[in-house]
Amino acid sequence: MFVEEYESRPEFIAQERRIAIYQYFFEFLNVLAIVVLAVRFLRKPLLAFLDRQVAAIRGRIEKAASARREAEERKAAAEAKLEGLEAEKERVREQADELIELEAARIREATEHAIAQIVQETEERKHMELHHAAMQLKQELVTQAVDQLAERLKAEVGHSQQTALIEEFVRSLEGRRMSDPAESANG
Amino acid sequence: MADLLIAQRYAAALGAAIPDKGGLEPASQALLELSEVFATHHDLHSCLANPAIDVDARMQVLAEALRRMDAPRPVRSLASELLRRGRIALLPEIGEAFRKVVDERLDRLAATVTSAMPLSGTQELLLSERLAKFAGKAVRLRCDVDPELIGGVVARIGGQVIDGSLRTRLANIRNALIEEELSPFTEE
Repeated sequence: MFVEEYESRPEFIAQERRIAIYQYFFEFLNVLAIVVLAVRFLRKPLLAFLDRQVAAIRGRIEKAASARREAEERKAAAEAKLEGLEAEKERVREQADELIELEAARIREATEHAIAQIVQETEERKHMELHHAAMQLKQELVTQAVDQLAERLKAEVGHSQQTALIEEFVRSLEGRRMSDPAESANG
Repeated sequence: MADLLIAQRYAAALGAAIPDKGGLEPASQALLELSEVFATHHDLHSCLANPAIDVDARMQVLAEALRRMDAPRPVRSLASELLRRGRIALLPEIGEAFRKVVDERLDRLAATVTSAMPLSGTQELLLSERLAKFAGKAVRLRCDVDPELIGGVVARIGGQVIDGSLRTRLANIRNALIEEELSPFTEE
């Protein structure tokens, strides 16, 4: 309360205003001095720093431009390659179609050849089996017929036939000699 | 094999003991008869071949058998010797070997004729003559009967076979028919 009353006095306010003006003035001088000193001593390093920053930024910009160009080139190359790939794909597909066609023809030919061979072998086998069966049948029939004939002859051959056979045997010996090799065979 | 060699030696000795060719055939017949008796009469066989029976007793049995057969003297001597030496069981082999000795001495061949039915005397004689002419020397004919021949005869002489049987003819016909190739098979 007392302080507020003291500070509200006009002398105090005028005193404060003067002090403030001087303070502002010397602060301004300080700032000016700092600026002069800063310009004096920091100008070159600051400019150098700024130059470096500018150069760095410029380098980045150039690098970015170069990268962009490179990317565009790559893009163009990729697009070109993509177009080439399409052509390659088409070429490969045509080649594959040709190969498939050739292979299919080869397989078809081989299959036809194998089928023809199998058919021929089957035919030969069939003929062989038929011939074999016919020969077996013939053998059985001949054996049966001869056996039946033998049985019949056993019953029918009598003394007269035996005599005739012996006479025939004796006749077959006429004019032959034991030294003849042929005599070892059946008479 | 050893028995065969021994039998051949005894047969040769018997042949040497009969210098007269006329005595060979009767001796051979007697030896074969004795072999047959010995083989078919088992009592006689077991009696003569039994070493447990006294040799003199067996000798007496053998002498009686030979006397009844009226065997020639060399055959009796051989039989007695075989009995004494314990080789009486070799009689059949000696008989066969002696037949060969006799055949050689008489310059003849052994021939066997097998026929489907028994041969008559005339047929035997005819065959014997023809086979002798065929062989070029005398033939001693043995006749067998085999009904399986069906008809005809089969002669075996000097290692050769002359087959005139119906069985063989039928077999030849059968083989010829079987071996004949079939006409090519045509499928309908």
